[in-house]
Amino acid sequence: MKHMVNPLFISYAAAGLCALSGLFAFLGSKDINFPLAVFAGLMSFLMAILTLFIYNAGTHILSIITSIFKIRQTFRNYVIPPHQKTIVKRANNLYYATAYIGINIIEANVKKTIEEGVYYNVFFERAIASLKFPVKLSAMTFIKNISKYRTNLQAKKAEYQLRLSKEREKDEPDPITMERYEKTIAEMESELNLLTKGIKPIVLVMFASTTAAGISEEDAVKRVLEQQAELKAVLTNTLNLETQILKAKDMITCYVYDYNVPVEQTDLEYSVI
Amino acid sequence: MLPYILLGISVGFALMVMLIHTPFTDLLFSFLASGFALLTVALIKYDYFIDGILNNLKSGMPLNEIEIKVPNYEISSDGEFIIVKKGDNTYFATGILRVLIYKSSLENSHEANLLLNDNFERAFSNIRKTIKMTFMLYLKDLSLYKNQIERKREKAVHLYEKIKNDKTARVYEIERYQRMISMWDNQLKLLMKKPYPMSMQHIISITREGTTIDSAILNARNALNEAKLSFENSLNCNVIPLKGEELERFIEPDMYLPLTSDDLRGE
Repeated sequence: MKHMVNPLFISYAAAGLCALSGLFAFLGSKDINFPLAVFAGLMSFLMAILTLFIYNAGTHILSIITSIFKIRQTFRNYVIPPHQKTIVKRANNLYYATAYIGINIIEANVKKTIEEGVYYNVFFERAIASLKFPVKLSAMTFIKNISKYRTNLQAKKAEYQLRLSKEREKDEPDPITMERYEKTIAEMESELNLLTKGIKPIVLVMFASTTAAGISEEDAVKRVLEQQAELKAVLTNTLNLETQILKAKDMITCYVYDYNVPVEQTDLEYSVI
Repeated sequence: MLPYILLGISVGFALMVMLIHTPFTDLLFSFLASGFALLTVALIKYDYFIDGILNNLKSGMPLNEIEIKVPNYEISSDGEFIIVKKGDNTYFATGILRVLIYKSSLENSHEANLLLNDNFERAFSNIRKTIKMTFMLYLKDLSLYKNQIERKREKAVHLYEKIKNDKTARVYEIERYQRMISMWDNQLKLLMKKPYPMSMQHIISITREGTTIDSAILNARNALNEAKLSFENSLNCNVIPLKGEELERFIEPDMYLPLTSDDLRGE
């Protein structure tokens, strides 16, 4: 489904509506029938919590439901087992299971020193080369609209400069606060410098996948889950990346991205990863 | 569209809670407003699953195996693009490029790595729309290569043994065979050594849309040419478009990991 508005905003709006209707129900009828008003208010607040829970942990909830009822999903010649951790394909009398990992980069490359950036590349290649199974690392990027970004950054910088000068003018300026402001201003300045040099801010969505073959579905799934755990450990420990195992819809989205990359930036931003 | 309609209905019920104040309507409308809001989020999150269940219920199929809708793809007639149809008249064409980088950063000098980093960023920042870069890593199948070297070594050993007992043989010939054997030995040792030789492919995918297949392909071709030029100029390397079966190899696991059941049993 193509979203016109960020699904995150819709879910927050939905949760807000639940909470608001509960509040109005409580306020409106608390003088007439207090127990009923409390019940209506509580029920709506619970629905608001449930709404947020479904949005944030939706894939896990679905995999629990499908595991309990042993529901398998199919498309073309692929099967998604009830645990929804892998996509399995049957071909050449073998089963091929693929598992996915979502990656968050904690520290951007531009914030590293030149030395760190270069060594990170070398570590990256060395860590990946230590893996004995096939890995696909995918990164989707787009350039941020810098005109608005630059104006915001300049405004923020000016604000922090004003705060810093006010702090300096005090009779007893706090050195910790001053240092914090100075550091923030320096960071913003370096970002502005990068923009003027022509280095544009890039938005990055990254995921990794690994595939294993087996003579039965269980065999392939077992192998790929072992590979996934090893890959996750390598990415997290060696490369200082934040990783999460992708399941259900997130996993299918990544599979589709192999042959259908999102065209619009909003599609990528609103994607469920 | 349905989630937005449901959210609208939820807003309507929330307004009714505000306007009408009786205990019964307050309870009913707040329940309905919350229910529709919950349904909106459930539809956003589980749309494909709910759709599959409804289809199975409609056709009277059991619910333990549901067919979900995942966009299907086909290869264009010229074999250069992957075509995906979404909706009635929206087509997406995806072209795939392979960047031929022969040197690993482990072999490069410090300066060369610095330059590569810089150039990579430059190549990316030249492309305005979304682009996907994939690093495909797999172990090289060296069994055939290893067999060839072993055969050459055996041949050299055989010739060495033969020439060693021949009194007319010259010293430099014996030495030549000795050196040949040690060369093959060294190569075999290198192949056994960790890290095992890995192959890494740099793949770039770009998708563009159009109202017809031809317009989608045209848009994708333009974007692909732009990306090809950008990467060739920035990285000073060859960039080749993938075609036909190579495109499928990038998507289908059985082509990406070509194994036979004998291979696995041997394992």
